[in-house]
Amino acid sequence: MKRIFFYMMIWAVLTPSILFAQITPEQIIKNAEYNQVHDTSKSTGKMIITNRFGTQQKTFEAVAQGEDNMLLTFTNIEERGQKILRLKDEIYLYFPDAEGLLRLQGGALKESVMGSSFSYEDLTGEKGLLDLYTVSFIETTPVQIEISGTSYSCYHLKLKGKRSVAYPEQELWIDSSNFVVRRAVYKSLSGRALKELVVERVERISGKYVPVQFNMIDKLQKNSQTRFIIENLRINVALRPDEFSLERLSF
Amino acid sequence: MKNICCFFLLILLFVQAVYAEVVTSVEITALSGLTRDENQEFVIYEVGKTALNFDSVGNPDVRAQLELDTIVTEAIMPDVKRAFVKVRFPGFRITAGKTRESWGEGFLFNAGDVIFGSMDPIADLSEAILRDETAWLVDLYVPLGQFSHIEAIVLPYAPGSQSAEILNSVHDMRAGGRIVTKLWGIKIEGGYLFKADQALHHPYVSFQGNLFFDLQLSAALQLPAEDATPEDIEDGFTVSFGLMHIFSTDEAGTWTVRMEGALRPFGSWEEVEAADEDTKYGLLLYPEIDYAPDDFLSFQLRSIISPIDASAVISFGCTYNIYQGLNILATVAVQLGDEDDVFGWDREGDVALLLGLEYIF
Repeated sequence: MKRIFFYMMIWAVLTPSILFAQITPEQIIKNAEYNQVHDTSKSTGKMIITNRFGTQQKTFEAVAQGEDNMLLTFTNIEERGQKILRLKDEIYLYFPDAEGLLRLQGGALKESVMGSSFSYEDLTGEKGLLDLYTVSFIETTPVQIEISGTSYSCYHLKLKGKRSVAYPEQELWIDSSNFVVRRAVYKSLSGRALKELVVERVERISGKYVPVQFNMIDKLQKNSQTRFIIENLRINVALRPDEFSLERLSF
Repeated sequence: MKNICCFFLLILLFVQAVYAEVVTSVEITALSGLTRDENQEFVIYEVGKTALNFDSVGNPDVRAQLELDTIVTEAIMPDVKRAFVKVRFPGFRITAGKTRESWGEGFLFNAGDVIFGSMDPIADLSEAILRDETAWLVDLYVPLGQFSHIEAIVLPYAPGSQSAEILNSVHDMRAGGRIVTKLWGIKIEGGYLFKADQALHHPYVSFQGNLFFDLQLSAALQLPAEDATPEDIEDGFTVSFGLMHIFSTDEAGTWTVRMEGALRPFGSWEEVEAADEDTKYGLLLYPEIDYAPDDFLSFQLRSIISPIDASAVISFGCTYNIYQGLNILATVAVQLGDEDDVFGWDREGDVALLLGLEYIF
């Protein structure tokens, strides 16, 4: 009896660690990135920017390839024809009125896209998270979070920047059933929350669970948030070989 | 009156022709100004600017645009700002019509802008884009990879020409080309324009890279086609340079810092007595600081400084994007300097206050 009790104790102690040893924080991030990064994609969508005066809407078309390449074209009246070409370490902006290209590198990647709460890196970059961050569990067991009245079981992770990155610290809640990032809090070096991302809608597209509606809340400005809605996403589509060239940008 | 009738007829014809795949937008800017006239009396004025745009959509390989601008005061001044078709064929693309091509590097000063010229100072710093002249042109663009291309251009009329003549002598046209590439992270551009109307060769080179700041440098020569003297070479040598940096802090918004310079190494490096418009000083500077405390409000402090005669124009502006498509504009500008300086007090427009509303719909 004493021996059975001893084995039960061992089992009780080891079971959680055996179960959760099956997946590491790094593996969770890789699975989440599988949902977020596509070989190629085309989409249309809109950003609804809310501030204290009300809302403004910007519509866009986007073409993307992997982690680094994206061409975003604004289609709303105010910014119609303005384009952003995001490559690995640089951004090119195209302004049709001036027929001019502006090339930005370095810190400019962290700047706001067209008055939204998203930076260029929020939209396209920093998807190779494991290259840029060390990742660890905040909670070793999945936690329950509630978004819009629905409860999700999520891995709760902490990311610390290895070098200069847009957000030196991140806290992520990744759905344990489909590895979708359900919630994220982006923090400064001092640990202060700068932005909060809440994923409001997920669709299954080409075998992936893809967030198609999410809300970025600016934690430093009262009543400031940007809702990002992807209306028509196609994954693994054929792209022209020159899709991310300066010729395409300036056309 | 004939011009106005033609202008509106053109609108009607174009609307009929492109009723289907077109996006239309209207931009109206209503400005109220206070300034001083040549007698140093304060005067007020109202001016309206309108831009009616028709943009083609639907065909990914064809882009066309018609932009009809008017400046409305007591009189109406219509202008076809843009009317062009851009077509992509396999291996090349062609642009034909009235539009803009930006060559070289620089926001205000750009020695590489051999098409329109961007080395002379301007007095009005209130516009969002300081250089946006257009011209009739035909442009052939051949891409050579992701970052490289060669380009050939023909301009039948000199940009800004007020001539009403449609038929222009081939001896009065302009033509040239450029090559753009990227090497070791630096964008490199070299080009040439022959101005037959002035009998001038105009080659240039431009470089753009990043070393904490986004940096750019352009240099150009303007040489007479015949009998060029060493003095001609010196007078036609211009250099522009610039740096820009955007940075933000967690709580203090976004700052954009820009500094550009227009250098004429063989220009006047001492103040000229009784200088006139032909006086070319060796250096002009354009510092600019933009500050956006949030996503909708921005402040701009801009200046053009002529250090050799110690004169300057300083402009402080504010733009508030309060509702979708609506901007509230405010600018105050002042010129400092003597009567014969590049900028000066006690001359027409030496102080100006501008308030306005801009709406795009």
